[in-house]
Amino acid sequence: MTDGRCALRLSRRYDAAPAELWTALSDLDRWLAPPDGVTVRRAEPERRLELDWRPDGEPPSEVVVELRAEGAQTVVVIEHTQIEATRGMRYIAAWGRAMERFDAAP
Amino acid sequence: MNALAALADPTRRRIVELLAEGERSAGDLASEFSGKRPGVSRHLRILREHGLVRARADGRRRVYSLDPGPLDELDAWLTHYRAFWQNRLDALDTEVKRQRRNT
Repeated sequence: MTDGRCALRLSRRYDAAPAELWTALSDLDRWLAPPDGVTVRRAEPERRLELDWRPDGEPPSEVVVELRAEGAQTVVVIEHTQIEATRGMRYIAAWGRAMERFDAAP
Repeated sequence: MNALAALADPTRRRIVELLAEGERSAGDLASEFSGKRPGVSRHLRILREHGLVRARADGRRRVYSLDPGPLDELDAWLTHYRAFWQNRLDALDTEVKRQRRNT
């Protein structure tokens, strides 16, 4: 959590070229089994996939999957960002700090 | 609207900032917003419904303070999705291997 953003970031290295990985990645139903309310916003073959993540009953968020070749391997980075949190976290962080001060007061 | 979206409103953010300094009564909070007295009780109700503030009775007054519940909500979101994505990255590996066997 930095700059009022709340994001989750994971990465993994695969023993496959970006082209091969992209083919697997594009078939969302096979590996992701996306919940209802998830749609592809943008796809840039072998590089980047963006998803709008809006399942029922959940705060809206977005997912960006990036592919980067490293020799014969590919590194996949997934960043899942909670949109509402980006607005709200700043204030929650500020209030958390204020509460710490309040607790610390003699 | 979730707890964090409730904070998108500037009046509610101001209330949260004021409560960050310590608990206050509804009347005391309303006096900070001249001419918006009915609005303040509505905003307090919304904040309370979203678990951002809590109220206690002090004689005839209602005294409000902050509730750190939404931080737990975010923590739950992060924990849930961390496990979810670890699992899906495993599935992607399986899919790459399956694809390779079939070509």
